[in-house]
Amino acid sequence: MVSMKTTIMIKTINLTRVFRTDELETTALNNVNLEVNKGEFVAIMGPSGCGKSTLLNIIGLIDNLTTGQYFFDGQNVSGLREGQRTDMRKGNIGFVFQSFNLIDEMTVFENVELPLVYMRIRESERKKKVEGLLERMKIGHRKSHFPQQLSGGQQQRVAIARAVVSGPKLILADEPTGNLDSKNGLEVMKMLSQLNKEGTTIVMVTHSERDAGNAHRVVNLFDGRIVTEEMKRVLA
Amino acid sequence: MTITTINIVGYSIALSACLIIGLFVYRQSTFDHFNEDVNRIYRFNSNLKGDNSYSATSNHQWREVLLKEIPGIEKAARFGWNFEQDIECEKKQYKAEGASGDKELFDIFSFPVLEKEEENFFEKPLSMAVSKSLATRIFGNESPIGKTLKLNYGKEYTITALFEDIPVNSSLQFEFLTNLNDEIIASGEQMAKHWTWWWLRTFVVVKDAWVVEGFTNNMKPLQSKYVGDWYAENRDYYLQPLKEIHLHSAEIMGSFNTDISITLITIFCSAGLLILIISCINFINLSIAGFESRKKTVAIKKIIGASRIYLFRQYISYSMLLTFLCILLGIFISIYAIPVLKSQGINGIDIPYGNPVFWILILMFGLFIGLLSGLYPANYISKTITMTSPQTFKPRSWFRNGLITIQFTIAMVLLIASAVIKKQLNESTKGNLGYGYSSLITFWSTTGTFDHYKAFKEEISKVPGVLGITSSNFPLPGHLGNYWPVQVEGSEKLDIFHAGVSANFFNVLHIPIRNQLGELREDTSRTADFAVVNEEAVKQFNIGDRIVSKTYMLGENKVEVAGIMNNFHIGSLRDRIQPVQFTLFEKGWNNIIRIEETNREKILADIRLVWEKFEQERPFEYHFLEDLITEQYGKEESLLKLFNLFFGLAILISLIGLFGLVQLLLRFRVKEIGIRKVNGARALQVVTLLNKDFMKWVFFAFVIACPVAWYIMHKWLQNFAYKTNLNWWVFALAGTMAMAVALLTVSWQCWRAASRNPVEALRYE
Repeated sequence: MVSMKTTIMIKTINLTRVFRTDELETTALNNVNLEVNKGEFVAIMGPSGCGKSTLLNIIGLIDNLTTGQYFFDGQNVSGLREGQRTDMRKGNIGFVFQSFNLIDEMTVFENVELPLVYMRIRESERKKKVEGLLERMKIGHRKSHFPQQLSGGQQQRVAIARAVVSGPKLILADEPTGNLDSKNGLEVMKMLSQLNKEGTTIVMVTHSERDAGNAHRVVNLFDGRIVTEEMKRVLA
Repeated sequence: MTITTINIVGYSIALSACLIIGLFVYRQSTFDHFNEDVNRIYRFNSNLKGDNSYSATSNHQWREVLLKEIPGIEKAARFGWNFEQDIECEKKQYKAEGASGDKELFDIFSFPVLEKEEENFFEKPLSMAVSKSLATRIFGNESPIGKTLKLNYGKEYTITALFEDIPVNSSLQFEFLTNLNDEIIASGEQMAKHWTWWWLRTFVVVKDAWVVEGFTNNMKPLQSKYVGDWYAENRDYYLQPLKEIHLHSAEIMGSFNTDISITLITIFCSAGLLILIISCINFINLSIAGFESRKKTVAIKKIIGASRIYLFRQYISYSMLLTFLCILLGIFISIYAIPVLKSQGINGIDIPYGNPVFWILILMFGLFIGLLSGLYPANYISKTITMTSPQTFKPRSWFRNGLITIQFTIAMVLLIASAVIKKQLNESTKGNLGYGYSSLITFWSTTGTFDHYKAFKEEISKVPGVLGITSSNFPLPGHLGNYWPVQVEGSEKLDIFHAGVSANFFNVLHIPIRNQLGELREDTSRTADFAVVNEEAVKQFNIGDRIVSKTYMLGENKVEVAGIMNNFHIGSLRDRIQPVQFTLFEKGWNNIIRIEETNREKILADIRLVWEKFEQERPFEYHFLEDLITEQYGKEESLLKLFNLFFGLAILISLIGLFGLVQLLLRFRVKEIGIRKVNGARALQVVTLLNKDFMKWVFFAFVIACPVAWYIMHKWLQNFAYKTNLNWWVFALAGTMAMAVALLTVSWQCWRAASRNPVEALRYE
């Protein structure tokens, strides 16, 4: 593994992902070359089934690539085993999903606390961090509720809180507003933009042109290939 | 293996086991029911001391009295002991199970007589009746009537009747019957007039139930009249229904084969019921787990417009189909299993193909179980599946935890129970009888050796390798049937079992004697016989060691206590230790020789040479005591095997159930596993977490199972004279085993879920 000081957060070289079943071979990603700089906000767009989520999952180290190379923060992570990838994710990458993916049996507080537990942070510190964050996100009063008792917007705010609580360098969001009404959607996008302004790199998959408008750059995928990359704004 | 395959295989095996247990239990509980008069046939039993010391034996003279003096007794007949006897016919030797009895046995029991010389076929002395198969074995297709057989190298008997083979589910078993009156005559005048010689079983047919109710009281004046007032005071006579003889005689001395007691039947029934319950729970669990893959189909069907009732019906019929498939497979498995059981000595299990009741029962059972097993999943499916989110339903946590707890409690109770039962049966067959029975041989004397006993004994003693020869007037292992009330000064009257042994009996059998009064010897010149009493008798006389040198009357003989012997089991460990006294005599018909451990063949050959000097006609046939003792437990051994099989099966099935349950419950947590992993959990952490969750409930199950199992086993052990200890390690072992299995299953399944890419778990959505 080569480690170097770099301004590049994500770099993929000819990244290919093939799904195999007994009879069928589907190429979800085909020689994708993507670079994302630190502090950048990138939106990935494209029609259903074009490989957006697969790309995001591989970037987030929760799925394997088939061939090609992937450098995360200057490290080649293409050949890592599951355990090593877990360690790499820990504290570095936060996830926000369309369907929130909160654990129903755990309270809001416990859900947000989860990444810190796995980072072996002391309980008192965890409590301080989680409560501060929940206050900031204006859901402090619901910390001992269960996810099912919250509205969709509130659930997604909890999910975002969970994603950022460990102070990750990178946040990956998979259609974060997909299950929300426009008002709550707007709220979530504001939060993500705020986080980006504070220095967090964000990669977001979305169908919404409006959401994509918040990004610095939009990457369009079609049939597993990058077709266009357009710069929305010049990086600050 | 898919879940459905596991489900079908497990369920079929379970149903097969239940079927076999059912047939076995049915067979055992309908023993003797083939007799037409089964509801009116009773056995004439007594309760010896009014303290639950029951006996099935009676004296031969009561038959006449019952017929003459008790109104409502229609028929009565006596039955002696059945044992294997030697038959000689035209220089050929045979062995067959024979007994002595009254010819009226054929009137009372439904044993059809096929041919007879005349109406009263036992009129002439030395007549006998033989079974069809025995007759065929000896004479082929010729009629046996009028032919003669020599029994036990002694007298010649004439065959005067031929009867149909006794059904195997009859308590009375014999291949030939000799006339009991011949035996009474042969035993001499004194014995014939004896009233307290209990040596046979008397059966009666009563007119009505009132005969049974007032029987004990009606007997009292007769007891006083024929034997004496003391006899009426000490004994209650009662009538035991024939129906109860097979299963309810464990506590009754001198009954028939009591290996299969009601306790055992209860155990088998519980095993069967447990297997049934566990397998039904499994079936439901596995059905839900297996349904996961069909969930989408159901959701789509709903979207397309299938009504709830339609889906409900569809699933019920699916589960019915599955149940009947399993029943069919279960019957097939049984068909193949029954001969295997037979080869292991477990008989009497047959599938009654021709019996419509059986098939109706099977059908009803199938419908019931199919409905029961299908109802829950069907209800579950038709209610909770909505087209948009098939995943939203999760069984409530109390339900899931309840299932784990129940399943593990059952499994652990089973494990503990089987360990205790096994331990009990093992120890009660291999436990210490109280005397050194290895390297002892035993054989019965013939007149040749008995009449010249002194010389015979001397010659045997000279054989190199013979360590001692002694004799008794009862077989060992065996049981003492005769007891007598004796009165010792300063002590209450005590019913004491009595028998006779040679003076060196204790020496040869290695039974310790204490407080010995000089040298033990038989002495005919004295006015009192010497006797040795056991510790149990000392305890019951309740005057301590002062009993030694005391005298009492044993019938017409005066006896002086010359020593105290350790308690020992004359029969098996099943028997209760009774107060016993052995009168010392010169010789008895039963010989016991202790030989050296080594070079046995040479020693036995030398003994045979001595035997042949005294007895030319009859070959030397002996048994090692050890073999006879083991043989006593032969039936128990085969039951032990059956027991192992069923409990092994129950445990296996509950393990399959655990496997299914864990798989089911994990499915509901796959998403959680994914989320935890995305948030930084390592696979091992996830496995540990889920294990902790499961183990909590498994431990809870253990806490419930221990007292339950302890209580059940404590109750069960009450049935035995010898009780094994309920050691803590049995419980610990069972608990550890169940937990280990849970740990393995959960870990394996969790590992599979947790070591994959987290995205696969999330994609499950």
